[in-house]
Amino acid sequence: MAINQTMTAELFFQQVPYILPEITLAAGALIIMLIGAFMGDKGARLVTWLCVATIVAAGAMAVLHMPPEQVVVFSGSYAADGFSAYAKLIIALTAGSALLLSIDFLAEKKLDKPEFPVLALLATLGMFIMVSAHDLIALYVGVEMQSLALYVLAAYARDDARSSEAGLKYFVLGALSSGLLLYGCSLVYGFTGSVNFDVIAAQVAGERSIGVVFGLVFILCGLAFKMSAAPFHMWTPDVYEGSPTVSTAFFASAPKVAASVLFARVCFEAFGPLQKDWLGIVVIMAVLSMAIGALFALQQTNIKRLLAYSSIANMGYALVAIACGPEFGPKALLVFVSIYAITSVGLFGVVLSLRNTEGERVETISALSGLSRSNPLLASALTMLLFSVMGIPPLAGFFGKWEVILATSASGLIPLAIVLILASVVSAFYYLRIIKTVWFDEPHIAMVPVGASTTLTLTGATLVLAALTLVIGLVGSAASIAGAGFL
Amino acid sequence: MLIPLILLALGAVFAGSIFYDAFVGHHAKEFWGSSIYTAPDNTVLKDKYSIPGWVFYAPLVVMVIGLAAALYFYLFNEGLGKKIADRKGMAHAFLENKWYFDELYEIVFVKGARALGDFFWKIGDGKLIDGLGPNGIAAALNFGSKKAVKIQSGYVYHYAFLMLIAAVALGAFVLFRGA
Amino acid sequence: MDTLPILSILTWTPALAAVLILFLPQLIKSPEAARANAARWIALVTTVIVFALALWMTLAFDETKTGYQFVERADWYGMIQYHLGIDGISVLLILLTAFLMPLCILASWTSIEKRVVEYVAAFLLLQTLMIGVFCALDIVLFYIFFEAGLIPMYLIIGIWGGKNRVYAAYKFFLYTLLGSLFLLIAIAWMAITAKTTSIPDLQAFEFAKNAQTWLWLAFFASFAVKMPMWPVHTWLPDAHVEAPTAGSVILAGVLLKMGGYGFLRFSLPMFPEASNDFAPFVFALSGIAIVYTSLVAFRQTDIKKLIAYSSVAHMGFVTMGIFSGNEQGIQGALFQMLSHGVISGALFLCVGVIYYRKHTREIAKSAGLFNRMPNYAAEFLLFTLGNVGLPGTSGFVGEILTMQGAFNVDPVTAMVAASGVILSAAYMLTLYRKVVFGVIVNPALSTITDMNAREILIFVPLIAAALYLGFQPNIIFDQTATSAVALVDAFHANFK
Repeated sequence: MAINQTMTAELFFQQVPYILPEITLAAGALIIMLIGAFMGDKGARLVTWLCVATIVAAGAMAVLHMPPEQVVVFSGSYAADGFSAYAKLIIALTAGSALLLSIDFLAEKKLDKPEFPVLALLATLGMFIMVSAHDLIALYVGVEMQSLALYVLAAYARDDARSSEAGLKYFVLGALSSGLLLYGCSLVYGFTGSVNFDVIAAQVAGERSIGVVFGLVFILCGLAFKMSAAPFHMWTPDVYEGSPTVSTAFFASAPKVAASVLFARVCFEAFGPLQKDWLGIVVIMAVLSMAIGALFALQQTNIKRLLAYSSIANMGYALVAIACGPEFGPKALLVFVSIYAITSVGLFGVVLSLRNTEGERVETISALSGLSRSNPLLASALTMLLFSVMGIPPLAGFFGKWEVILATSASGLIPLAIVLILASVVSAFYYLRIIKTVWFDEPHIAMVPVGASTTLTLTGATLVLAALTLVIGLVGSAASIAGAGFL
Repeated sequence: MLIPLILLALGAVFAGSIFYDAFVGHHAKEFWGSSIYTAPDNTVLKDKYSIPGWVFYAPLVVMVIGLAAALYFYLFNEGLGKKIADRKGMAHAFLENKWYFDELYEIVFVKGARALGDFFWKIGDGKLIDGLGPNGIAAALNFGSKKAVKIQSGYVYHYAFLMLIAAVALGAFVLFRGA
Repeated sequence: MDTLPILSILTWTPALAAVLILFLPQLIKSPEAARANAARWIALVTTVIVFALALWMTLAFDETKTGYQFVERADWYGMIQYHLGIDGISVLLILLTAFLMPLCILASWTSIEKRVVEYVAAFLLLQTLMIGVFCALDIVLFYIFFEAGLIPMYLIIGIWGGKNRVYAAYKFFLYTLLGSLFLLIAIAWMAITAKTTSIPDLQAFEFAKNAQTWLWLAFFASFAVKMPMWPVHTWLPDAHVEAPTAGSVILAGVLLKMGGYGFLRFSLPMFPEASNDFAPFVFALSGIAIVYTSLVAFRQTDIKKLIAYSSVAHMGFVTMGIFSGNEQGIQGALFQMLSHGVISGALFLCVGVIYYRKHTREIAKSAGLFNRMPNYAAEFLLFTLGNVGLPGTSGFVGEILTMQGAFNVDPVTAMVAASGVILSAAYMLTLYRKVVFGVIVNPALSTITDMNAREILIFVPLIAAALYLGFQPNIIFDQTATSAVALVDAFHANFK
């Protein structure tokens, strides 16, 4: 569809089916917000369930309406293809699960208001727009919509100083990164004359101007912030630790998928011809992220902070996948990041399941001491999830790492693979420390059972992860199809 | 005890002369048949006839001297052996301790093995392999990580500053590389 | 019976039993002791059945054919297939695994008291993974089984181990992980280059010479740590000492053999030129390993650590045999692996007998056992001599053949290895003298009892194996000959 074609009513209704997921989410957000406003706080649980249903429906729609080839609609700002459909499915599943996890926690803390799920829904809408963005405006709109919702979620526990600090930090640094992002976008627009990815790609294939390259650098910096990639990762530990755990659960899963998929799309689609330029940046960010994620986490005693650094390291692995280029990167990225997101939901589910006898939430690793005796099922789930994050077979996380290493071998980036495995071994140490605390030590904090929906979600996430090993073939083929469009 | 001894003594004295011919004498070839292989240029069985006479009789002479000495020490001059032993001279000690071979083995092999074993264990495995390997690397990583974590100061302006520096640095990197 | 998927049955039966056992607490709402008992009996019955199946499979195995038998193949994930099969090299290793497992379960019958259900489940899962390693014919599937074995072993050492178990468990896990991750990169590169992950196809594929060098090194990194070879052996003494008795038995008996199996299955057939070039390097390391670790063993005061170092020395013979590249060396290495599995396993069980009674592994505190435990003394002597390599025991056959194989290629290394035999006599006989003979000095030992029926039951099959293999080694060689000769021929065909 040509970029400058005028939008007629007929054309509009032709293109609407492609954005059905987003329409669902937007309409759902508005309607559910009204429901929440009228029902007040006692409607929070209903609102949450409605939001989850809406998100899952949107994800299903994205897959069902997936066109065989990439279709670009709405003056070239929205791309519907397999890549975005896969990403939307995963985003929907993980965002929905993270929302489900929030029910019990918020009810306990008396924070169960309908705003939380609606904000999450709006964030999901932002993420959907991000992964389908086909021009710089849509990119920015998606990123901002997601970020603004997440800033509020970070500060959601109004009476908790740590939460306010987290929200403020996230907001201030996020605003800075958005500034960088916008500055980069404007440079690119200035030097190529268009915001559309295809036009930009055509322009930079012709001549490589320094202005565009600079713009590219700033765009990638802004996106790296969203992705928690080093050296733009510094907000991650503090925000993860300070925010209410349910917000952190949300941050750590779906937005990472969205950000990494968007990063890949920008690199492969918009700036494909400039691969030599962004490759260096991506490699630097990947190596730094892996190193920092591995090294800094060794000192952590707070689980949320440790998981933040784990997130940074895993985003480093995702960047390695992106560095492998448009031929081998997309499939590896999709497989890796989807498995990671599911594992992340599970891990935070476990953190949310820990309460001591006073009913207080515990966040330190030492609190997990002897969990295998007091709650064997929870301990087993945690162990499985941790071995998956470590990349130990037969857990699904191994296949994610395998895909990334396979992609590096195919694209000749073996040294990067070596850094990856070294970081994995160092990271293995602190994951093992958690497993050791759970299995080898004696219990000294009694645990109290938590609510049904948390347990349900956690069980669901763990079972899905376990089943993934068996059906990994399906995941692989889906990712292959999804990632094939960039050549 | 005595009858077996007598039988053995008879055998010891006469076995040689009885079996000499079959083992190494004229009928050797028929006796051994094909169980011993003799190379064509091996003429030792014939050469033994041309050895000098004193070589042939030397064992007999030494045996007689030894017999005479033994008779003197233990039969005719009883108690002489014990008197020499009691003096505990160097010759006696040397002979009694089997030429000190056991002590030699002890010093060279046993103490040597112990020293090497201890060295390989404590220094080789302990300090070198473990020190440079797992324990050393773990200590280094721990140290490095403690120092590095201090960057995460908690102040927003530190973080913002680092972000900006990083953006500029990456820009410069791309400029100088791509140019 | 070609259509019976015997390998899948062998591989997955223990895992299924483990899952059943883990859900016992839900099924039987009875006191802990009853559950523990049920778990043990289910495990014992399962492992005995698995052994019977493995024995049947070994008898059904046609030793005159080259190539893989009982092959199963199904698509799984892209290039990776669920591909199983055995040849002469792997069939006996599977039998060894199946043989040692029931003995391990029996050995832990009374010595493990807490969390028995998880313990038994971990062992069964480990058995699945070990059998999987030996029969996987897809290189990624092999890797999955190989790596996954770290999980149960880490838990076994860390939960039921000795005082320093946490350090030992970490060391074991991280050391082995690092080596194996290099292996993973090499596998990925091979999969991309050869466009297949099937082991027979990879064995036939000819990799470029300079590629072979670094691929060989990556594979070596992993298998050398697993074997373990000097100088990456330091995890083994710690792991062995701290693991529970049955854990040490399975670690020494089977897990170490994965390294040797890896060299035979991957390094020699897939990287022949590189193996040939690196053979002197491996010989040097083997020779050093044998002498160095034997001398260190000589100075140990902890019985288990002594036997652990002795294991490293015996694995030196195996690597020496494998890289000699001739039939004697490879047959010898295979035999040595099997024999070491039996004898070393038996030795750890011997230590376990004392430890279970008096909770000590110190030589000084165990002196004079002969006075009260004559049966124990007798069978301990047999295994001591087996470890030394006395002719008549299985230990001799492996050592003489590997030395012969090495002598054909490098007489110096063979001579150094031969001196290792003397050193092993030194430390083993010293150990035996100090522990069994002499006067009882530790007052706690004055009430020690001789072996009971269960313990005798564990040792009888091991004694039978050690002696029978010593007198009739041909039962092994008949099974392995075809595959070993095929391996050697294929290896040398590269240098014509």
